[in-house]
Amino acid sequence: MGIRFPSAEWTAAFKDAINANEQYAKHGAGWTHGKVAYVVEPRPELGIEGDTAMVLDLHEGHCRGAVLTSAEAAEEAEFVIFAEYERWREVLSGEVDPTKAMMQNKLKLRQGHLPTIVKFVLASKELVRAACTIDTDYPG
Amino acid sequence: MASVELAPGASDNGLAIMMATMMSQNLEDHPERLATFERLGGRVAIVAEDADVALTMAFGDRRAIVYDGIVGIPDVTVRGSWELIADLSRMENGPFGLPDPKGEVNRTMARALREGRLRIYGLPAGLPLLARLGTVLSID
Repeated sequence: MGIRFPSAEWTAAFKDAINANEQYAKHGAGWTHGKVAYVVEPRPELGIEGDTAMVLDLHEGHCRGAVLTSAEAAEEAEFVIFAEYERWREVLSGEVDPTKAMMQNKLKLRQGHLPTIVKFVLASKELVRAACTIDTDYPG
Repeated sequence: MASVELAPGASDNGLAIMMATMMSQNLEDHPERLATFERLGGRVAIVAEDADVALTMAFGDRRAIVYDGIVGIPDVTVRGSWELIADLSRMENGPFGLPDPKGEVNRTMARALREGRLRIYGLPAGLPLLARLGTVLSID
């Protein structure tokens, strides 16, 4: 039985997985641009009741903290990315690359500086690789 | 006053949103590029073949309008995989605003051009338009 996504437990496991990824440490070393929030849009039938957000405190190739919170609280993050639950499942399980998903409007950057995201595209891929190492139970 | 706009119907096209956002934020970050932007004239189409996404950027009168799909007759058309299209803004600039031949991304792009994985139609006539667009979109 894996860890249910999204949950506080999964968010904590994500932090550990990021910090265990040496390639993220390399490609994210120059990241000093603040927190990144992944917001999952509601899916009440799957137990996701309001907008749920994972806020990652990323800094210089490490994740200093990761919390599960509301979308409203997540707006304090410098970068806020929204998507439906199914789209996050596709991206975080490695089925779809995050940049491709953004091109297809499956992931939406609601807040933040896109050129910075593009500059750190390799670090973004490593965040996904880290997520893929988590034994995850995706509902639905 | 320079402006970048999404045409009606383009707000569901992730690539169109990304290109419009990149241009706007880059012009804010690099006001010295405004002169280059204002000299842009013509249409550039971009097709990310394996993401089923295409757009057209129409330049003129110090404006850019980004359309969903191919609209009008493009002066330059760029076709390739989504990964190569995503790398367009990561190309490294060298002296005089020309691509740096030693840049890692530039070498990848040159190889893709030679192998036909990236195709650019409308050259050499469209080279000045493409070079100026590269300057405006660059995150370098």
